[in-house]
Amino acid sequence: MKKILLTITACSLLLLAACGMTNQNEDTLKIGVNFYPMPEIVTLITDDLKEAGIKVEQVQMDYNILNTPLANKEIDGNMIQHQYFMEFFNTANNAQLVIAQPIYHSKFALYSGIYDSIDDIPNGTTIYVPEDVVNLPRALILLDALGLITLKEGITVTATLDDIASNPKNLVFEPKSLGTTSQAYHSDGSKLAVMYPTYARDTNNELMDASQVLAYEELNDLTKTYAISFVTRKDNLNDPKIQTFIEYLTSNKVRNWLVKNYGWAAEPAF
Amino acid sequence: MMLLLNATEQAQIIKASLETLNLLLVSALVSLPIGTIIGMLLALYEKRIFNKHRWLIQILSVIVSIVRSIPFVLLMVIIIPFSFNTFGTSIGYMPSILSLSLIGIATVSRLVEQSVIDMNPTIYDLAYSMGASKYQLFKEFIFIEVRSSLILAYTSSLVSLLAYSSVVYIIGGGGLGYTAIQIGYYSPVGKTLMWVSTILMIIIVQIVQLLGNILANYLNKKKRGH
Repeated sequence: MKKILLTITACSLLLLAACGMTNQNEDTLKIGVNFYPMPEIVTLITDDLKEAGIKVEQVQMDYNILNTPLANKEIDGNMIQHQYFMEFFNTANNAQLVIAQPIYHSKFALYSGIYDSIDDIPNGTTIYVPEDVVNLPRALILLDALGLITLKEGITVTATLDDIASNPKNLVFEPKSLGTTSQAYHSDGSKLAVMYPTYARDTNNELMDASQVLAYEELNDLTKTYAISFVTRKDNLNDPKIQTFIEYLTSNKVRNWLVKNYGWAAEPAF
Repeated sequence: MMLLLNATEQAQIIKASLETLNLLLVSALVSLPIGTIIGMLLALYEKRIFNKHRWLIQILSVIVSIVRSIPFVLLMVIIIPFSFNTFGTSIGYMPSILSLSLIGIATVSRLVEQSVIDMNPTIYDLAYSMGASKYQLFKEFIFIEVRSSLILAYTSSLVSLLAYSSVVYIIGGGGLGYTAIQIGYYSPVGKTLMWVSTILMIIIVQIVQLLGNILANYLNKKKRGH
C-alpha cells in the first residue's frame, strides 16, 4: 500500500514538473495580454500569422506582473503598458524592455454632468483625479492644457499636486484610484472628474457614453508617449518573428477593427 | 445556458471550466492528505495524546497561521520567484498549483484540527477504560468518531479552494475566474460570459456540498450503528 502511494506521489510530481517545462517551440511567439481589446486583437491576426509560419500563443495574466515573464524570457512580448509603466519596471528590476510598436492612444477626458463648458465651472469645485503616479500627472497635464491650472515650468510627466503653480478656479483635488473615480464622481453630483472612458461607469455600473465629456485630451508629442504599446526585450526586438508580428499588428485589418470596436475609448497609434 | 454564448465564448468557457476543475482537483489531491496529517498532529498534541517535541508542533501551528494570514493574491505573487527558480516557470499552471496547494494545506489542517478537537471528549475515557493503545485509540475511536466531520471539513476546504482558484488568473492560471472577471467584468462585451461563469461556479459548489453532505450523513449513521 505504501509503495503504491509512493509511486503515485512520485508520478504526479513528475507529471507536474513536466507540465512546468513547456517546450520552447522555434516558430511560436508567446504574447502576454490582459485587458480588452488586446486578446481580441491577437486573436484577429492569429490565423494570418499562422499562414506566415508563426504560431501565436496568448499568455493571459494580470498586467501588473506580466513584465516579469517577459524579462525572464518566458514570453516574447506583451501588449499591456505604456512607456512609463515599462520604464518603472526597467528601473526597479534592472531589465531591458523596449517599446516595439505603439498600438493605441487611450482617450482621456474631463467629465462633467452639470457644466456645459470650462467657463461655467464655479470657484472651489471638487475635481476627482486618478491617484497613481502615472495617471495623476497625465490628468494635471490635461487640466493645464485646458487652462484650468498651470503647472510649474518644465514639469510634465512627473507632476504631483504640489507642482501646481496656479489654480485660478481654486479647484479642490480629490485623488481616487482609477476603478473608484467614477463612483466618487457620481456620489458628488457628477460635477467634475478626469477619467478614461473605459473606467467611466454610470450609477448602474454600466459604461457611460460620451455625453458627459467636457473635453478630450489633445494628441501631441507629449500625450503620445502614453500610447499603449507592444513591448519586447532589447535582445529580441530585431527577431524576424517579432518584426513580422509587428507588420500584422499594424495592418489595416487591426486598425479598422480598433476604430470600429474600440473607437469610443482609443485611437490607433499606427 | 450555452445558447446565450457565441462559438468563441463557448470555447472559452469550456476551456476555463476544465482549467478550474484541473486546478481544484490537483490542489485538492496535494492539500487534503498533507493537510489531514498536519491537522491530526496539531489536534493530537493539543489533546496531549502525544507529547514529545511539542515545540516542533507549535512552530508548525504558527506556520499554518502565517500562510492563512497572507493575503492570497500576495501569496501568489510571492511564490513567483520560487516557482521560477525551482520549475523554470513564473507564469500559469505551476505557480497557481503551488499557491493553491499551500493555502489548501493550511485551510485543511486547521479545519481537521478543529474537527478532532471538537470531538466528544468521553471517547477518550471510553478508550482508556477499554485499555486501548495509542494506535487503537486513533484507529478505532478517534478516526471512526471524526470521519464524518472530516468529510464536512474537506467539503468546506474544497469550496474555499474553488474561491481561491478564481483569482489565479492574475498569475496566468486561467479558469472561470478569468472568464468571469477579466473578460467578463472588465471587458465591455463580456456580461453574458461573466454570468455564465458565475453560474458554473455556483453549480460546482452545489455539487461539492451535496456530495459532502451525503457522504458525511452516511458515515455519521454508520458510526451510530443504524
